[in-house]
Amino acid sequence: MNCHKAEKLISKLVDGRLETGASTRLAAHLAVCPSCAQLLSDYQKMKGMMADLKIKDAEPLPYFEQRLRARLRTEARPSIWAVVERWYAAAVPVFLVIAMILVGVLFLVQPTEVQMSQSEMLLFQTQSPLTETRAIFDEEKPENRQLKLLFAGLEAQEIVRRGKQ
Amino acid sequence: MDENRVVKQAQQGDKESFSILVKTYQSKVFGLAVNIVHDRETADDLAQEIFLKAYLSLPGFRFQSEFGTWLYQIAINHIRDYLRKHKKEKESLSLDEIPEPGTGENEMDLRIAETQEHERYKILLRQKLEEMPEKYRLILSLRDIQGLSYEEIGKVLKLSPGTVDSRLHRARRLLRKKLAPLLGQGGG
Repeated sequence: MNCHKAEKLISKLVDGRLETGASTRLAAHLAVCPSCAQLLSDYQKMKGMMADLKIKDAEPLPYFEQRLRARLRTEARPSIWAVVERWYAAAVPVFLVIAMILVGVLFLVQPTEVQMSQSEMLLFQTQSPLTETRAIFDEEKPENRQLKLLFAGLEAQEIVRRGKQ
Repeated sequence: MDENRVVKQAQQGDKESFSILVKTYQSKVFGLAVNIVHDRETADDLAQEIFLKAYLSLPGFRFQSEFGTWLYQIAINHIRDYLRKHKKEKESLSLDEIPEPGTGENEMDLRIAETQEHERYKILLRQKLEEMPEKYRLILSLRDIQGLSYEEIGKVLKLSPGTVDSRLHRARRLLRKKLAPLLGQGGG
C-alpha cells in the first residue's frame, strides 16, 4: 500500500467506515510509515476539535413560531403558479376520466340507420327526367348523345331492379 | 403524529398543520444553520427564511422522500446561497494574533487559562473553516459538527456515496493544511 492510497483510507477510518480487510492492510502500512501515522493522529485531533464546535441543544431566538406566522401573513402570498400547481394535480386525473367517458360515448354509441322505403329510395335516386333529357339533346356530338341515351336507359333499368328488391 | 397526514393538511392550506411542522423541526433547522454560520441572530434569520421557502414550496412536495429530508435540502441550499453571498475576504488569523490567556498562579486561574486557550483554538478553527470553499465547509460541518452519516449527507446534498467519500477526504486534507500551526506540524 502506498501513502496516496493510505491517505484515502485514513479518512474512512476516522469515520469508522473501513472494512476489516482494508483496515488490516492500513494498520500494516501505518506501522512502518510515520508520515501516515501522523496524518491519522491529525485527522483524529481535527475531528475532536470540530465536534467541540457544535452548539448543542441549539434553540432559535424566542417566539420563533410567532414571528414566522407574522412573516407568513405579510411575505408568503402564494403565486399564481403555486395555485395552478395545487389544482393541476387534482385536475389532470379528473380530465382524463371525463375524456375517457367522452371517447367511450363516441365510439360505443352507434347511430341507427335510417331505413328508407323503396319508393323513397327511388325518389332519392331519380333525377328530374326533364333535366336529364335536356342534357342529352344539348349534346353536340351525335356519338356522345347516343352514349348518354344508352347510359340513361341502363340507369333506369337499374333503378327499377332496385325498386323490386 | 402521522407526519404525512399533517404535511397533506398543510399543503391544503391548514396553517395549524404547518405550525406543527415548524415546532417539530425548528430546533434542527436552527441547529444546522448556527453550526455553520456560528452566529445566533444570523442563524435565526436563516431559519425563518428556510421555513418561508418551505411554506411556498409545499405544494410541490411529492412525498418521494421524508419531509425532514426535503426540509433539510431546502435548508442546505439556502445556507449555501448565504455563504456564497457573504463570503468575506477576511484576513487570515494566526494563533499569535489571538490574545493569549493570562498566566495564573492558583488552580482556578489555571482552569480559566485552559478554558481561554481552548476558546482561542475554537476561534481559529472557525476562522479557518470560513476560509474554505463552501462545498468543503458544508460537508465538514454536516459530518464532523452535525454528525450526519454518509447516507444522510448523500441524501441531503444529492451526492453519491463515492462523492461524499472523496469530497470529505479533500476537505480534511485542505483543513489540515490550514490548521498546521494548531496541529503542531508541517501539515503537508
